[in-house]
Amino acid sequence: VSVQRDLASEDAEVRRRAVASLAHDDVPDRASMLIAALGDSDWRVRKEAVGVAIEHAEPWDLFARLVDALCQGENVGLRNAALEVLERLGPRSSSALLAALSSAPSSARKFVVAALGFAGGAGVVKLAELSNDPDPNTAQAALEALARVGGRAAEDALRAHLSNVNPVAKLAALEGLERIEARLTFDQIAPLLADRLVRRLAVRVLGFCEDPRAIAALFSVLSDPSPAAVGEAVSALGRVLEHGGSGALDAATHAHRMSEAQKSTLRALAGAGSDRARQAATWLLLLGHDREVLGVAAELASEDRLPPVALEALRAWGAPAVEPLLEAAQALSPRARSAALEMAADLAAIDPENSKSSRPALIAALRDALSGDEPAAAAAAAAAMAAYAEPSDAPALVRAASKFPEQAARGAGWALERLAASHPKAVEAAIATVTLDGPLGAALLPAIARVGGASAADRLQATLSADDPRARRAAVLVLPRLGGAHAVELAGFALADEDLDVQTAAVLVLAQLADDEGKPLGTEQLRLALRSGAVPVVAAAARALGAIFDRGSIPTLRELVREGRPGIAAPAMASLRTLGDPGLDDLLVEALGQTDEELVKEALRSIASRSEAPRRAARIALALEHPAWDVRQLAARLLGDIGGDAAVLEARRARETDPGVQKAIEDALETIRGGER
Amino acid sequence: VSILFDAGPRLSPDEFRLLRELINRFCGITFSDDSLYVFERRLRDRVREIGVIDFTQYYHHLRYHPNARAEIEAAVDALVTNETYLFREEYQLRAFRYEILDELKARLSEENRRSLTVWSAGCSTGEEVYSLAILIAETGLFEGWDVRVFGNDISRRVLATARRATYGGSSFRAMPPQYEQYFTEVDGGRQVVPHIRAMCHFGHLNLLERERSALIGRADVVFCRNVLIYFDEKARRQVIDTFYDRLYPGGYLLLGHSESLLNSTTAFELVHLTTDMVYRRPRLRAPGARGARNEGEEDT
Repeated sequence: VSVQRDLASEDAEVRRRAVASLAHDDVPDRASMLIAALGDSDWRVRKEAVGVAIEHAEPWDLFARLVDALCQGENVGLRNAALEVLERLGPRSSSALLAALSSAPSSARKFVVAALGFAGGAGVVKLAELSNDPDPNTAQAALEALARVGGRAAEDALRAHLSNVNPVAKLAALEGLERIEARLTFDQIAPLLADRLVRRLAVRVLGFCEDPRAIAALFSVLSDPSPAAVGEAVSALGRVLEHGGSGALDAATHAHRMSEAQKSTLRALAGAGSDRARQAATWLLLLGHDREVLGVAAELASEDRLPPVALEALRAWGAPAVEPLLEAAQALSPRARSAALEMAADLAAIDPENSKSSRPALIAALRDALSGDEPAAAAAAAAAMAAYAEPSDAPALVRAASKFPEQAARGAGWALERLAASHPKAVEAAIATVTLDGPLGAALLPAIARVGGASAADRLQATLSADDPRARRAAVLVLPRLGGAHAVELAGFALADEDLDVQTAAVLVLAQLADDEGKPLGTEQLRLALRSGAVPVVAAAARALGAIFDRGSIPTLRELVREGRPGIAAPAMASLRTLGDPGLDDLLVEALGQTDEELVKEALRSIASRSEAPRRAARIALALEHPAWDVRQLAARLLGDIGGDAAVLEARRARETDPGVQKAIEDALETIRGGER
Repeated sequence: VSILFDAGPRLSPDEFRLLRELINRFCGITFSDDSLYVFERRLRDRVREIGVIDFTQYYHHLRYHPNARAEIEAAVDALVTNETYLFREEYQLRAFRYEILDELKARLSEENRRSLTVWSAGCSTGEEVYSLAILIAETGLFEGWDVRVFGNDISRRVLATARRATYGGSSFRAMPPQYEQYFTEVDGGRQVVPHIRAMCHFGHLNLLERERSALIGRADVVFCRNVLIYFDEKARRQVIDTFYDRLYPGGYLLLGHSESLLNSTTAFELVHLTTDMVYRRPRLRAPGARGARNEGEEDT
């Protein structure tokens, strides 16, 4: 009675609390009350009701009522809330929705169809049928739902509408195919390019087509009067290049032959287009060796928005781009100038023979930046100096590292380390008076270790007691340079450091230390590290003992797997797999039921790797039902690898809503069917 | 293979998705599918800094390391561009200065409350906090009142900059010249004058942590500009609910010019000011009042 009274309160907060209480109190006919609350006038009450409905849909048998709420036409809030619940229930609501299709009033069928789009593959056949429904709203909703479901069957259904005489259906089908990144043939797309309504989208999907004619068509669109079409063509070409293969090669060939007018169009987009268009236009211009785009390329690189493939295009251009890059750098912001310097240094280092003439200007620019006041430029120059530093540069590198310890120290450390290999005395003299603590000490220690000798050993050992744990960790990490029993002893001390990252570094080092015959020296200490209470230390020790193939640690590793501690059990199991532990099978079933996804994934890998494991495919298939997408995806991939049961994968595909897992299932099915053939 | 630019571990699409989702769960910020490369470049330094060998180990670090929270914050800090400047979107600040502050002064005086709290949610390096404090001081309406401008951010690095209150040239690119008097030249730039700094407070707060937001107390105005654009719908709703909780009835919420609550909530009312449209938590209805609610009222 009190819940009923509260649900009728004028105060929305009282009603919201009453809805929340329905989940816990056994109130008669609470399902009806909940459905009514889904249509409350206050959003907070509806929101609460949605949460309760999702949680209790099955035990309270809400599906039919939710579908009724979806189909009623009086309360829009109720309909939207019901739609949200059904969508979020996903495949669980598929049966109720399919059943409702025949009885739903015509005005509500489109909502049922829309909800089916979230219900996984179970509704695909019906949706394909409904995409031809005489009611245009239903047909449109079905096409959109097919695109949401994805997968091969949905793709086929959408493809069939490309020749639909109804332009709206054709557009929806093309939109759907674009959304699921379907690969259409050039012959399927070509007729659409002439259709004004769908031309822009047709240009876009050309980017998924590897046919050389598609690439040629995209380059011809660059001369189109419509900026929107040009933008689409550029983005599509970006996609082609990203995808690689023969399409990318064709595009690169076309890019070399671009007309000045086409380049000019691309420059405009590179300077002020959307992010994607800027990236693609820059990429194409780099392929076409366009000097004017180098400034934009440096700007994008400084914002971390120059894709790696565009960088490859710059590298393919090579040494001739060094001088224009240095010229462009002068007009850029400090950050972009740093990127330009770094790229120029990169190109000259890759191709020293052909960059001889630009080298003096490059080195002068690097030295200038190294001694300047701009931290980003100093950091870029310091890192670049790894390839160009001469002994006389050592003091400037140390100065830059000291001035900008957070930005430039690491790069300067690399450069000094490389320089120390050929000119140890110059580096030793430059670093002699530096206090090795904080990030500066951490960055410079590898260079000191490289210098070697008694003095370096003393400084390294002294830094093991530095105040800053970063410096201590760096000192531990260079212990292998000392080698021998003394290094093992020092690493052992570091296992007792109060900082976890220093301890973890000690574990990594102990795994590397070996005698002249390659016999590990740190096994005892590593076994002790397995008893540490700290997750990262135990995990690193578990990995390390597997890596040094210490079969004596098998019993402890098994214990760690049985304990199932997140972060530890998975590396322990990985090591048991490496060690070929015959007792691993006993641990796998239990591990599959643990809540730590990383442990479940490791168990799946272990099962897949053991061809003699009982019910191997069936056990892996169980993980297709796991709530985490990464576990399901791995299970699908492993089933593809070991040749699992295609019927099981197909059944899961019908319910799967995650695009990544869907793709893994499709791939696995293809592999299995290929194997059968 | 390059030894300089672009060197370091590669980020696979699966690793990208795991990291992206982890960060989204932590702070609500969402990254688009094409951010893989941004993640790869910007998190590489973090991978090197903590001494793991690849992004899978980095993901494990973020999940299992006792200091994972600090590292997630560092990752967010590396990923999000915090660029802002003084007197950004000035038309909105005009609405604040010439309309909202007047209305608040009148109403708070009526309520015998001589305190004013403004919250700059996601304040980055603090320019907005100081801009708001300067505007409040400029009106002269609240002299002798307890005035606080509170800025929060998830990044400790930007908060350190905010507390220093010292800015370089680019922060001043939109500041009208009449506010020069609130800055003095110091080493490294221009610093906000002490009496304005005294009005400003900063805190490290994740906007998704609804309970911790109570530390701020109640606010009369919330500025949250160009922050919600980084959030997914679920997180956006959660944050808007927090603003609703933290605002006094009648308090104002100001979002960035490209942001609206259209898809998120109906609890706020839209108020049309001369130079801007802002949101307001409905005012309280007098106890005992009966009948239909008037526009702009909610129950006590």
